[in-house]
Amino acid sequence: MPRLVILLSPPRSFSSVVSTMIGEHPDLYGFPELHLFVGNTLQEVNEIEKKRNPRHTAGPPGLLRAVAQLHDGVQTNGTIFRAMGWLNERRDWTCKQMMDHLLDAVAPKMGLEKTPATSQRMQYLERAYACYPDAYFLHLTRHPVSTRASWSEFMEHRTEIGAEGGWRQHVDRFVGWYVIHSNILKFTSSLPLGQSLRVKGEDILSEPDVYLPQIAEWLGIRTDREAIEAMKHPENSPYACMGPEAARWGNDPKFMRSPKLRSGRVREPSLAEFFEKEKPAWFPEDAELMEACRRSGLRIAPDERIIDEISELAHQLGYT
Amino acid sequence: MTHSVSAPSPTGLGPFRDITPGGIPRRCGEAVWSATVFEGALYLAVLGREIQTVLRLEPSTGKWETLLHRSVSRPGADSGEIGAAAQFAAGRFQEAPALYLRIAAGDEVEHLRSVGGPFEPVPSHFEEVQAALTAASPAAPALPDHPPTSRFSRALKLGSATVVGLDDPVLGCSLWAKEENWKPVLVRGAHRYSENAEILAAASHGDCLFVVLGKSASAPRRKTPGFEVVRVYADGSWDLLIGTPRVSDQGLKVPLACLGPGMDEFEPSRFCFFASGRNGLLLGTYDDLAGFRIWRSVDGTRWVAGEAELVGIDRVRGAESLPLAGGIALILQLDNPQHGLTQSVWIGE
Repeated sequence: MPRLVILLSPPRSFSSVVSTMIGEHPDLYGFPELHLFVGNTLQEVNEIEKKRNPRHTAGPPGLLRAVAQLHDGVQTNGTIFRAMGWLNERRDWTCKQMMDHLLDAVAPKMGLEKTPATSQRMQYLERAYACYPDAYFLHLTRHPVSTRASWSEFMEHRTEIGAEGGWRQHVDRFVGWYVIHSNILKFTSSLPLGQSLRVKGEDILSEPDVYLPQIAEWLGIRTDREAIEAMKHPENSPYACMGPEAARWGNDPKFMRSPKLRSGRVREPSLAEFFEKEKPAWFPEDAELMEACRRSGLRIAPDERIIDEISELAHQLGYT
Repeated sequence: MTHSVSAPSPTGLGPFRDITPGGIPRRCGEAVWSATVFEGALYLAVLGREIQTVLRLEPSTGKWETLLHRSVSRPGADSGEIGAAAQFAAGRFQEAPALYLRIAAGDEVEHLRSVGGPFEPVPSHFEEVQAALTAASPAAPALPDHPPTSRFSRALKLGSATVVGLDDPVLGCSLWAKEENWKPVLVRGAHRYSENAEILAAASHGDCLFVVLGKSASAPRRKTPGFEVVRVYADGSWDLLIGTPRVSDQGLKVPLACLGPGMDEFEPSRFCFFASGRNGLLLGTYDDLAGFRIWRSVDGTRWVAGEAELVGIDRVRGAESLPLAGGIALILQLDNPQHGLTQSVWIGE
């Protein structure tokens, strides 16, 4: 039986609430964002995390929280500092050694990992697969217009708290949505039949009683009422709240502040109406970007072509 | 005039054999072909630059009979496209079953009629002609609430109900059944959305309707996804037989045949034809590695490809299947390096 489920999605795709819901199944353990597959070793993971957010000097907050929780049963500044020391002593560990350690700690439950950054590069996806070739991959989607709005809002918040993103943070979020879903589709299309499953976040949140049992059935775990009821209470996860001062994040802040599942249908906006009203500036007027394109012999496609590509992918994922 | 059925091809399609009649142009650029089945017999119209022919194959005797053979001469018609089209339509004449043939060449349209014998010209204003042609190309019914991006694909039967298929490049294809009112049976390409934009083929078998869903190869840019097959029951429930596992409003759907899209090949096989025969279902596929294959299944959950069909056949560019009383006729377009694109008729079951 596979030990790991990996949830793949762009940022701002309901991944925190959905992964926490699924992770509340009695046979699963939902981790926060571990960021383990972005590097070969913990040292590399830490360096990449530091570039992503200079305040995260001791590693991804989700990883620190998971280690603290699993080693000490509680997340406090004290247990987080102990986790920092423990991880520092093992900075030459591979990401697989670290993940295996966490999976051993939650056994016999299956672990559920969700880190949006995993899907940002094919290299990260391939690394995840190389480490766990029998893992299940759950592809989570959200409407591109909603994703873009939520992502832009989140990036403003990140800028406010001093995180750096370089010119990439000014690329329109539609482009990120497109690139990441394309990566995931390319990756999952190479997997054996049934090793991946795609699901719309809007469907799970609107009709959890219809879709959560199907995910459990796909994973080969319990589908009884008690198990599904547990999945409808993401607030019971130890990661469904802000962490202690030393590691506050590890999930979407909005979710951590209000983790209960809300009832009601999640609205899907219209992509066509959006493009009728707005003309996104796809890429920033940035000298570094232009120079990189020139060196690579690349040109930025005309607006109509970009809109066609995004719309076509949206239709493929069930959005209009 | 009759032709004997030619001997089975040495590179034959297993139980299928090549029965293309002699003396007709087979190269695609040299003639327009059209075929239909009427009263259990196969009719083939071949419109060449100089000769127009209509032949009938009687399955019980295995012989072709010529019902029309005439010379045509049109100024300037010796090069380029043939510029003609043929359409068969079943109807009645003086209470007897009749087969009509509409031939359009340039601005000229001609109607012919056969009541079991040779085709004779018939004035096109006859009501019977119009009725037959209208019945052969039904218009899209007015469905409630169907989206503007949908277009009529075909009318089908599911048990006692009439079922209408719609293609939709945005939402994915859908099936609507009419009992008292129209109601959706399959929606959003059965949840593979635009990757199942079209109903590629459908056939009734037993109490079920089997539908092949996918996207034709003309889609730009992206790789064409493999086709899928679903089985629809009279109560509106459905099974996924070939395709990608998915969640749906009817629960988790996994392919009961354990085959992914396009017969689970790494480069998905291209759909060629789908038919319901006396012994079950037939599915024709083509891919560059395995070539043309005819898969057979009793109920759609287990598919076996014919062995002899793997050997030596030319590249198959297109295929149309027609149900005959004694089996299935295939009209194949074959791409042969020596002869170019040619057409042929095969029969089997």
